[in-house]
Amino acid sequence: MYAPRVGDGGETNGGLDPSNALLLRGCRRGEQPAWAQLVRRYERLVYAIALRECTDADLACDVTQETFAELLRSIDSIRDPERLGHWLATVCRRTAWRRRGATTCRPLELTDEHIGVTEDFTDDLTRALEIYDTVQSLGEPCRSLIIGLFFDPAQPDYASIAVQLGRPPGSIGPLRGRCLARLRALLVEVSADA
Amino acid sequence: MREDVLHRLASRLATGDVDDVIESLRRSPELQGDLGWLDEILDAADVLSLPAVPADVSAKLHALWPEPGPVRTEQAALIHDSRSAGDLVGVRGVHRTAGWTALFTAPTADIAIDGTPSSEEVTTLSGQVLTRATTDGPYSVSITGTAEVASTHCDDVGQFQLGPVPNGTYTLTASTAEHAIAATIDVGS
Repeated sequence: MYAPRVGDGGETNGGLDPSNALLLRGCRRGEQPAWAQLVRRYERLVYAIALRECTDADLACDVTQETFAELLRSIDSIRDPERLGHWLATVCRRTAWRRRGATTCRPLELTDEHIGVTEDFTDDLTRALEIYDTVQSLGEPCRSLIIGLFFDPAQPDYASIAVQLGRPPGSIGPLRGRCLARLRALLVEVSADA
Repeated sequence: MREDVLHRLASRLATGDVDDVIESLRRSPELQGDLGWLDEILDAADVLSLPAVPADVSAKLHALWPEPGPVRTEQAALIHDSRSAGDLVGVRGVHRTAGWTALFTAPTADIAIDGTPSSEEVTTLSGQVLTRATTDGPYSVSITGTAEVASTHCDDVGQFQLGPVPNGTYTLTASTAEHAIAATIDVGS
């Protein structure tokens, strides 16, 4: 777990979980644990986008790696840390289009114009990414719980989630209530700021 | 609409009878009132299915982080300590109210330390890393005995606050990714 240093501004969620801004700052300072935590937060999102865009699973893995390599190269220039999911999804799609173009296999629904567009998202995906970035700001254990309950295609049951979180199974229901309440408050806050 | 949302949620959560789960959800305190926000989360979940990343792919993502190169370390020499020599003309502590001041010098930077006793056994440390090259930094500063006692980052002008430290002898290290400056410091009055 990345632990921000004393005097680092205290941008955490409930005191324990660093914000994206803090993790990016840690990466700029050469702190590997900050990078590790960014990877853990966003690897599933990037991999999922890559799978959507690539018909080939191996190509999706390559696109995922190239996306995070681009993140590492761009660490100093990320302007909106709390929309990092949106940035990563954009880079991932662009990389997938470029790689698919190189294999001469293009999906019928995309035109040549789309390949040059930097943010050609449907409204649904844009909103989903906003919610995903908001979920990231929840902190643990709520982040893992919400992703497990809502976004994991394996649809783990409470017992499996309890094992993953290291908690008794009977605690997951009440935890769900607290986490949904926090997420609701954050979504209202994000809407008010928009 | 509210019942529709509860049904969607129950379908996602239920491993058995959905009706039993809906009944439980209707009573949940966090699911009272307007559920438009929950409807949006369920919509997002329909759009974003997030499978687990294969372990080998995840390992490669972590391994993208560059291996650290060799760190060049300089040893700083103590050239002034107000506890033994008094104040030199022209030497001013970073903070005027400090109990004592020590100044270390190394080829690439000087380190000024101010110690303010918090009690008989604890001293609060602060200071400044004064680099000779404008391209150096930003510095991190740590103080280590048998284990790291405290660490922090310097601000834009090299100032730092380490906080209260038990009196004793330590190694104070100011470092960047490429090089480090180490000084042996006696913390105490």
